[in-house]
Amino acid sequence: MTRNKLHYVFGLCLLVIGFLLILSRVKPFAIGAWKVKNVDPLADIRVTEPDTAFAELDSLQRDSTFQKVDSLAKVARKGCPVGITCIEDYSPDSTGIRNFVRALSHIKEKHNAVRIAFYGDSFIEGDVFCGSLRDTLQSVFGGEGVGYVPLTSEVAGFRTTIKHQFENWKTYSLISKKDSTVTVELGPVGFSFVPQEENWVEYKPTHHRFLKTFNTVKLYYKNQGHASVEYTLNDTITSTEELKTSDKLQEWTHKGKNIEAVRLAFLQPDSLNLFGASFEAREGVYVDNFSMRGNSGIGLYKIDDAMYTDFNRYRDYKLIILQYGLNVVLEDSMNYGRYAHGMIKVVNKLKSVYPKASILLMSVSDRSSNTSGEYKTMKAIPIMRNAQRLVAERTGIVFWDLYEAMGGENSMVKMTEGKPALAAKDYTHLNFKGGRRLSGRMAKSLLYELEKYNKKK
Amino acid sequence: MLGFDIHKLAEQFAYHADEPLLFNSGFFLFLFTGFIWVYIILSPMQRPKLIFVTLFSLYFYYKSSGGYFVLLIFAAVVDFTLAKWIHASTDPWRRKFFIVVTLLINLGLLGYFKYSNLLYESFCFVAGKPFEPLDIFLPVGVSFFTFQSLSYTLDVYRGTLKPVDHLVDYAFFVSFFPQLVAGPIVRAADFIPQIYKPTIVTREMLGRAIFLIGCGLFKKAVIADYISVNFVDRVFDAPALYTGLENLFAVYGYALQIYCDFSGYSDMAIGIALLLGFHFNINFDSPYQSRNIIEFWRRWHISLSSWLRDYLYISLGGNRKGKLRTYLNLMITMLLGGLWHGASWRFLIWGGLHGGALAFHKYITERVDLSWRGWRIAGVVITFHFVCFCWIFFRAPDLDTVGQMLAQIVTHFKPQIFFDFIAGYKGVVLLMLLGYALHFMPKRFEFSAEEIITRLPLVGQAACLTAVIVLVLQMKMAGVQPFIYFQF
Repeated sequence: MTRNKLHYVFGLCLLVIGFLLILSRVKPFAIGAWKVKNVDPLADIRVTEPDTAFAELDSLQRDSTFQKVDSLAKVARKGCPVGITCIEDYSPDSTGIRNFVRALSHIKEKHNAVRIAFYGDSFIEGDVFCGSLRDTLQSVFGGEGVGYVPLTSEVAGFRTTIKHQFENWKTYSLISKKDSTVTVELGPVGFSFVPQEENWVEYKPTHHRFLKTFNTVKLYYKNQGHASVEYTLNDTITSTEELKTSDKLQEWTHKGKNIEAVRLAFLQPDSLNLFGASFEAREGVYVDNFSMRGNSGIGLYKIDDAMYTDFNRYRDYKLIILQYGLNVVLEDSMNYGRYAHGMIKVVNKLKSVYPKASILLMSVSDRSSNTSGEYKTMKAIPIMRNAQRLVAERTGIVFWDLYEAMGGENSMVKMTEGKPALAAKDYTHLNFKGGRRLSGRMAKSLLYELEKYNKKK
Repeated sequence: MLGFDIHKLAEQFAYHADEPLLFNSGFFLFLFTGFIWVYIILSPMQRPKLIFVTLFSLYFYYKSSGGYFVLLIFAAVVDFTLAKWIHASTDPWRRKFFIVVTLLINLGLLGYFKYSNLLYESFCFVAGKPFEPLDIFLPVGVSFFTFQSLSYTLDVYRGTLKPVDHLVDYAFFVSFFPQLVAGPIVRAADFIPQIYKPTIVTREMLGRAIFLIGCGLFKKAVIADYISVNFVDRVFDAPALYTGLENLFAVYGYALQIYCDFSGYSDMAIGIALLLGFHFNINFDSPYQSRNIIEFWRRWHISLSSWLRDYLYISLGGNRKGKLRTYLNLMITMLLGGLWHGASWRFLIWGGLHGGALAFHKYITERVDLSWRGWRIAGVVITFHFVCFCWIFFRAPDLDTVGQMLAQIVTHFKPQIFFDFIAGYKGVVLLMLLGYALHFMPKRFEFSAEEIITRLPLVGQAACLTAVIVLVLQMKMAGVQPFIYFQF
């Protein structure tokens, strides 16, 4: 008869637990790039102590205003009703958002377009955030059209607010690899699209309620040669028009009605740079999505002043929103002083080139990482948020705390793991559902400012 | 050294809706150690052992589903009683009546908890009403234990199984915790005779158990969990953001992930049952090695496919009612089998695709000679890719996503990013390679590995298991890889 080894099972369990307890005394170490972490089988039932091991403070954190920045926020949001993450106004005379809300309140009388330039990184690409913000604002104030669209896009297939296809283009951007043999002037969004032989780009509207057809189509370009645009509407009528030759940014407009498809091709494009297209109709609000994957925001400083001002002559922005920071936060670094100084320069530049616009800086969103087997907010996130708040305070613009609007600490974990999921599995980016929720909160905050303005009037 | 928090310790024992008790959790190791200590003491005494294990199983179920453990007791009492009545009665109509009652109760339970929302949604769609999902909690494992219980009443009805005498024996079978939450679906006919045998764990059983638990942990918590979070889920969430090449690899990745997830958990269940002296049948037999779709279904989730064959396909008439009926029966079996996996029309499509393929294969093999050697390799490749294609329907959140993935693969393949892809997803690619390599390895390697483990002294066995656990913990803490895009 075989011997019964049932009691070995108990021994096995005890041995495994014993080994694990011994291993829990081993300090973390690294083998090459692989970091071996401490293993603690009893971690779930230990008393947790607050983590005080902060990195060395840099100049920003020694700055006296930075240390008070939380109380500054409290003052700025005094009287804010429950349920709204109020905009914090750091302008000297509390008129940071006035240009924008005034334009909104006159929209019905003046029948004009109120445009918002939404600068950001991959967080807003594909219109994840802007799409529903635009939809909400257009449902309140009118407007039909998606606004600015680039000529080429990495996320054309993902974006649901316009159908977009293209071929034979070279794309240069603030963050693309530098090629010292070519000097390409970047446009006001940080991109420059250079048409190649047999280039074409095609746009079609989608089924979203305010985006069903095209009316006015615009192009922004700089043409120093003899280029012309060949455009085909609804796959049938093709026309050609010469583009203005100039060393300044120019606008080309085609006014039509209920267009179902636009196909553009550029002829003799030797000295032609395209910067973007735009689709709009009538009065109302237009949210221009200027997303650029991997951008920290700092690069906006490098764009020529004239580029911005010439562009703004046509667009007349009333609100500039800046959404950055995700590409700067690092797991182990708590020093964002240099970044804040860089952004202060950027904001001051934007203030001078968009003089009639309100400038709103939104904080970095919550982002989680997994360092101990559990997803938690990255320690750097609230520090980055406060550094950004300091930028707003120093430059006297308005600030919106997205981190808080999301729900603060560990909100990204809830969004990613919730049902339905509101964010992607990298615990960093939103999905369309999450974008709808958060842009709704932003719209609420903006509308609250309008309400306050109308009451004061 | 940090102290212990007594509240946190108490919390561990309570029910948490979002944290089912899994075999790969740390808490289970401690709980099981305590359990096995009592189990060894009680093992010579038949009835106390059964009562103790049943109570533990109910607690185990409570940890995952809260108060719904009552459901388990209810199912056990009802099926035990009805099976007794069926056995005792000689009147065929009475017997028919009782079997219909047990079918209605078991399938009713399953239907209510699992499919109410799907039916309601379809109703709203047809009636043009807005759909607000009903708030119905899906108790863990309900699909498994209802099928398990049905195998008992149906076998008693067919006269192939004698009913058990005591309710405790039956409750022990239905609630037995190793297979309770995620299978395999253990047949009453295989399991109940084991209840009355003495509790014996041989050296071979112990070795095999440790081998299976180790493999299961590795498959589930290392391969499946890592490639899903770091690659597969992302692509399925937004396929248009990725090239066709990445989409294709995500499909291959998912095929590996679902196999590792499912078979890994089955392996752990089989291993844990072995540690308690119970034998379960093998549930997955390297299914992607199959040369045709029929073979695939003989090697994939065997406990389910054989259940469907014996209780559904054969009950429908199997292949005894003419050719057309055979095809129809196959289709019905696979459609319902698809729906068993979840309440969505996508699973129905998935089942339908497999049903169609099975019928097609039957049709072809009756007419064409497929014994040529070249067919074998081609058969493996074709079968694997067909199964992968069907997985897209299984995994994608909706049919739009399925369309997007296929469109990306067909029109935006971009093979030039292949080397960037490998460099960017080193960990994922390595694990996928390793996973498939292990899967396609000949059986004898597995046997020799198992034998090596069996021959080791207990300390060595414990060290091996600890090594896997440490690897699992390290992977869990590895941190999420940031998104990478190769579109341009």
